[in-house]
Amino acid sequence: MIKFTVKVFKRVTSLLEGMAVTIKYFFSGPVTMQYPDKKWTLPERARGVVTLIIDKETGKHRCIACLACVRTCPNFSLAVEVKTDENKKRYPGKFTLELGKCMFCGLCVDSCPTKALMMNNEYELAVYTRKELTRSLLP
Amino acid sequence: MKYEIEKDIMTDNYYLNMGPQHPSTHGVLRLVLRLDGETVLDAVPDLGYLHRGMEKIAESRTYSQFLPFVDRIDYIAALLNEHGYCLAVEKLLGVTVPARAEYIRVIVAELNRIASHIVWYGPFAMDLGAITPFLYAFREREMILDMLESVSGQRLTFAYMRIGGVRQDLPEGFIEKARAFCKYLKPKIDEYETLLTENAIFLKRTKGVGILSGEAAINYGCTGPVLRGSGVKYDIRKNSPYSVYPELEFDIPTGTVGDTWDRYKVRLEEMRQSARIIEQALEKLPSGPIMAEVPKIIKPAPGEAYGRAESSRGEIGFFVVSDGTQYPVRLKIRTGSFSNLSALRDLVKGLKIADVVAVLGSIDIVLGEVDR
Ligand code: SF4
Ligand code: SF4
Repeated sequence: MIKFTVKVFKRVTSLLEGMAVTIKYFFSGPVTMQYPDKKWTLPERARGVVTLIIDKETGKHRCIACLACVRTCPNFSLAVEVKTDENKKRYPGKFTLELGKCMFCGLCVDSCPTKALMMNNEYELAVYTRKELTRSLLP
Repeated sequence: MKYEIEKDIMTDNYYLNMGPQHPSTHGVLRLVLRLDGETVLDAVPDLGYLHRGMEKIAESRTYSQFLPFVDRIDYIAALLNEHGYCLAVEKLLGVTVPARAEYIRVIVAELNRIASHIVWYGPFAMDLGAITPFLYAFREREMILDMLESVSGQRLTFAYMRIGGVRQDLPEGFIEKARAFCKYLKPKIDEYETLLTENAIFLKRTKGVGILSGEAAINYGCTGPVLRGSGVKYDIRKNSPYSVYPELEFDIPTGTVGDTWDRYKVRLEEMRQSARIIEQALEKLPSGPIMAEVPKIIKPAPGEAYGRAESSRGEIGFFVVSDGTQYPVRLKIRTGSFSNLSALRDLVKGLKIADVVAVLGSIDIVLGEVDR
């Protein structure tokens, strides 16, 4: 009988101990964030959408259409159309990214010899149509 | 009044599909249960709903290109997978990774292990009807993910390790943050224990349920916490040490009976040990380069190599065969969840349906890893 009472007592206290933890947090502030109203500040390294770095003053990018990024991309999401100007210098005529295929791995950024690519902080990427998933990186 | 149960009423066994859309099968697993009333007579896991053909994909990708795919095998513990893969390819190439890179790898991998165990702990408690632990546990996971995001730039599929090292050095302030987190985590794990370990309902649901003997676990090829829960002291980090684990001190927790409760206990203890490892690694973190000299186009000499790591769900191994070109000829992936799941059939025989949920939760499978 005593054993039984001790057992019941232990069981009940075990539940109460758990309850105590919950009640403790009842009086502390919320840990969640009201998302669409407030937003995270992402860390510097956050890997969002791949974009070409555009120089603010000149409005130019550094891409030389070498296709290194296209070849490195594991999912074949980048496409560059190579064009040459009068000095036989290569430049990208078209530069597209298929967001639906991108894995946000950053291998393209690492592979670029002129450091022309970067990943921005965009993360709300839902769109209505498939077509909108293909983005042109050129300004 | 007492009712006489008529024994001569014939009851037929019937089949019940649990999954693939059932919330407590943790993904797209279909269990075909043969039942007598509510007693499970047989349970056959039906796999393949999440098969993405990882091994085949590998054959058409270069060694570095396959790395982001490795993240998606076990997406809960991506860094641990990456570690295993990098070890395999580095073995094939014969490169030695700089000490600093290895230490960073261990730090982030152990953080990922804690996060992964948290993802197990929360839903496991939820399967048994306790919703509160889930919310508390995910609060801590959020912190880990924030830290890993500041290191790698992503929150789940990190693509942070590279063949021969890591992508970037640790960001400023990370070491202090990680130290503070380890300190913060320990009392939180005690709190998790207060919520469940001695809880009367939890004990009833887990003690003595789904007992897996050590011998059976070995025969099934179980690894990780499932094997250790059955009392077998086997951990790749200790038994065939890789990376810098030999320089770090930690214990391997084991269970005694091999029931659901033991597996639960082992994982909680592992979180503590991981925190211990991180603290030591942060202390010992040497300076130096973070990448070995690796050619830009990786073309290993013809040959084969097997690299393995202790993931949060058991042994994750990569068997890579090279024929001297940029692409592997064959890449076989060995995952812990797959072998652990094979023990399920034996574990649930004779239990009630509600216990199947508990046992399945305690095995901790990730379907991405089971199906690849
Ligand atoms: S982030 Fe990865 S998947 Fe996306 S475009 Fe760059 S290389 Fe391709
Ligand atoms: S790797 Fe850089 S320079 Fe070459 S095509 Fe891509 S963005 Fe342009």
